Amino acid sequence: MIRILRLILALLVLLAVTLLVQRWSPTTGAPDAASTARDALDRTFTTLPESLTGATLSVGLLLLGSWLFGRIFKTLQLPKLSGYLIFGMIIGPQVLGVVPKDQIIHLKLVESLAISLIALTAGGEIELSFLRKAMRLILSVSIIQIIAVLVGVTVVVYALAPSIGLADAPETRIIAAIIAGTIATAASPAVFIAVMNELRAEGNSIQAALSVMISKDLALIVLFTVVIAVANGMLGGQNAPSGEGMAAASAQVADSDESNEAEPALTEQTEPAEGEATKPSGVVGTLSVHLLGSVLAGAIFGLGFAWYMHVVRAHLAIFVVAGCMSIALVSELLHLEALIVALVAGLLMRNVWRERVGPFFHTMEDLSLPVYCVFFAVAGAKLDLNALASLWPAALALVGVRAAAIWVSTDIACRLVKQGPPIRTWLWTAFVPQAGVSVALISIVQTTFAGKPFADPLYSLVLAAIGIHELIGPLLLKFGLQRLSAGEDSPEDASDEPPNQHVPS
Amino acid sequence: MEIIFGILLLVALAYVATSATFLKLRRATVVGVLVSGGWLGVLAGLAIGPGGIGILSPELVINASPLLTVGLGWIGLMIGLQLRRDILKQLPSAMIRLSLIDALASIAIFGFAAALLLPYWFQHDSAIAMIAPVALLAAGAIGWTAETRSLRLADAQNSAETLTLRGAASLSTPVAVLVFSFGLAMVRGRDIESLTFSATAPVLRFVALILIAIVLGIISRFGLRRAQGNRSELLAIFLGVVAIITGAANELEMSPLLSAMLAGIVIANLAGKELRKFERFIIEAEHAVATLYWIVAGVLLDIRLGPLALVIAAAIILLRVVCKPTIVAMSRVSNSSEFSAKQLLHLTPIRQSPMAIMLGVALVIAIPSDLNHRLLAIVALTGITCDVIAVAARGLRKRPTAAEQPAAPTEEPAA
Amino acid sequence: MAETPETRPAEQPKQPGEDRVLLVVIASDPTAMDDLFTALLDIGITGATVVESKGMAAVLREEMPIFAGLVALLPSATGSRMLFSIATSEQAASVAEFIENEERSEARPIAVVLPVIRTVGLRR
Repeated sequence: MIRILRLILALLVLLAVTLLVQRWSPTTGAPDAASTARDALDRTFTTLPESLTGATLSVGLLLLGSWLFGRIFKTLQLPKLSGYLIFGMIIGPQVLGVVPKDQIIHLKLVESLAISLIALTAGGEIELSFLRKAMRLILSVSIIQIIAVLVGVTVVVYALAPSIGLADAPETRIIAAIIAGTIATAASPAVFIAVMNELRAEGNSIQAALSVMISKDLALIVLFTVVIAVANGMLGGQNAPSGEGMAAASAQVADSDESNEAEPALTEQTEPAEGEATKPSGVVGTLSVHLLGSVLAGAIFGLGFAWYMHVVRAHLAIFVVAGCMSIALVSELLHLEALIVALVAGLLMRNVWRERVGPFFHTMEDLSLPVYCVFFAVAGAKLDLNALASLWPAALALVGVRAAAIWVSTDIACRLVKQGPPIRTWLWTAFVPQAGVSVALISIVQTTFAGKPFADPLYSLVLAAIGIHELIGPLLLKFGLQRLSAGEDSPEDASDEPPNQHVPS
Repeated sequence: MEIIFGILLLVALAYVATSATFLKLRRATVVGVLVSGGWLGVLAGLAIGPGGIGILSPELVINASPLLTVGLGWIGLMIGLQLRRDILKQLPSAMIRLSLIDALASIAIFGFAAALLLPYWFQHDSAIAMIAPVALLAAGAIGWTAETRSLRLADAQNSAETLTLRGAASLSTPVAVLVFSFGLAMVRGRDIESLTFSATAPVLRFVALILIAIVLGIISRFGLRRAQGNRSELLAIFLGVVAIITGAANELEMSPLLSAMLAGIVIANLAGKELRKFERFIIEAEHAVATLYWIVAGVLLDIRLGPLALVIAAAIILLRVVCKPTIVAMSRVSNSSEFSAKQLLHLTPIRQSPMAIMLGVALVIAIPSDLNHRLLAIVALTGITCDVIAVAARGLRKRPTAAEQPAAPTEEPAA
Repeated sequence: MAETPETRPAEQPKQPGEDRVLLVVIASDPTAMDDLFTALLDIGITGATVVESKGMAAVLREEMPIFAGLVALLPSATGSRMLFSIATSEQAASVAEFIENEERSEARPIAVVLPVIRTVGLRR
């Protein structure tokens, strides 16, 4: 108890210091824009916008504050990740406003870094030998789950439509419901990896969960592209953005009053597939180029990283940061899927040059904590509390149906391939959390269908549901992962894996 | 495409910097001086900057200023962390005296010279506009490099003179940060027409920063204990503290170097055992961080100096060559008649402190004006010229007789 | 590090416990030493010489101080330690195994096992 009080005290002092500094800052009140000034040589120069110079303090507060908050949660036996999210929510623009909205935009860099880091970690966790062995389990869980969630959520959103202002023509309602169902199939690799790192969980069930998540993500990219293309065709896609136009669109989202904008990095990465695919005929071609390109880029990155580990093997921290940033930047540049690029790179490194790249993954683990602290605190700061406050009953229904669909479908799939507990009983908890990917997807929907009467209510509903998922997902996941790694000794997936080192927090 | 190029360049730099050949080359006189002064980094920056192939633009660098500010904080923290009571107590008084005399003399001489010459260069007759440039040129002139090895005065390597010179150089770094930061903080506003002067505001903000540093010091000690040596948690605490303290400095319009240095001093004197690992963790990155900022300096500096600015640079170089050895001689560091000791005391102080470039970068990041880009170029020019002069003088002033020449322990691979 | 080098001093038949080896452990992380000492005692090694040491990278860095030159001037605890001990090859194998299983990779010491031809003055 005293420990918690001390942590809270430290946190309050930190907040007080930040608020005092912000209050005392002589620059407060100046217009937040770059302006020009003249120097002693009588030459004009551009001064920095205030939000940019203020961003450093915000990053510090987000980092140290969420670290302290995470420790409080850890002491309470709760996932630290929830602590980061809730801290971000508290100091974010909607509650205390210590971190204003215009500064969150400047944190895009951290987000791109986090997404590459997470996907690289995910790739590094999966062994190809395991994939071969557990292919049936992975495929059956993925397929049955996608179908169950898609159907379940579509039905519930269709039924709830009048109560949330979605009372359009039945045709539009169905489309809106299907879009919601598609987005509901997304899971959150970020939340999963973060909780996994926190529990130091490893083993077959973790690999199984990750593999299912990845195959679901791949399916989702295809599914989402097709659904959007078809919807656009049916509704007359006058607002269909082009691949290049999407960056501007997402910037617009970021600047709009809807504070819960997409993670810009993800948006831009997901969008080209969708943007170019607005002509249904071109969907398959564009998509396969897009996916194959991502895989190829991932292979090149993996090869490059492995080469570095082989030849240079120094300044690893800087190299890992530069590597993750370059994955994000190159993907953005070439309109590839950063998630897949990093995933393939990680997978390749882990499975082909295992011995050599060990230190790379260790360094990544060292770096992950500060990145996660800021990444999830920012996610928390972006949570749309207004949507949650007004739509919580409908959102709760959506969350409930989705969770039930995931649970039942995972159980059925496990029974089909004769997979026993604990995977059968607890694997489903891995797929409940939702965060960045889903936010990015619904933002794309909102920009694509801007002006359609269903766009805004649907956006708010999905965001509210994501909010609930962000809050309860990690709790459920921690509970499930502890059971999964504690009880993992079923003969089905016995392999040459070392026993898991389960470290209770 | 430029990004991929930039990444490849970084990888290539890391590859070169860690290769055995380079490490060996670094031990040779000329390359050693070039590396320890940071000139290879600055040249690399120039090559990729707008003056070279143009991969990185100064605007891009300035837009990354939150990140660069945190990096400056890292440097400030490194400087502050070594100012521990137990270390300071062990320092000989000659070292402290030398450093003090040098600081006072340098501020007076170089500050005066800058104040005298800058008005000829400036288009505006504004005394307030001179404060920050004068502070930079004076603070940059304080001290000298702490690196004595690359001049290869073999028998002076472990002498008392070497230790005194190196210690005084290290001690003058925090003084330079202090002088620069106060100069910068006395002036508010960006536009030449709206600059205001206040002597008291920086003092008040300095006190506020000390208080913040103490609070953060206590929080980080608390955090360091909780982290129990876990690198990941150490990194989170460290980055958080640096970002907050530098962010606070930004908000209070003080230099992030100063605020982080204060935090470093507090942490060093507050935290006990937990600090060791933290300190190692930070200092291990010294060369990587320095190289990064040298490259940044290369990108940011504007070499279009013009004759008047060149005159200022020449004056500083001349003053360094004349005054620095005199200051050291007057401080009576040694009465050794040994040739190499004398040469060491003459040549090392001529070389500019690597901190000068960092101060220039800090100035450009704080106020990205054309003037400041050029001031950075002046600092770089004086630094590299003084290094070249020191190396050349070492080559010219050979020992009186060949018989006294001790056998060199190793052959120089290059130069 | 998995298998200790075979120690074959001449062609003499080996007596159990007589195949002496020199165990050299270099730990850059002082916290690793604590666990290592416990492990050594568990394994049955009760005597060793421990020396404070400094890595080459640190020496090269200190030669070229940039911001933190003061610390390099004073003799200070580097944290790095070297341990020498004469042990049997079985004991050395156990130590190597212990080090291999060190969970925190950054705290993992370096260990070298060398054959010993002769020892004098060893009181055991």
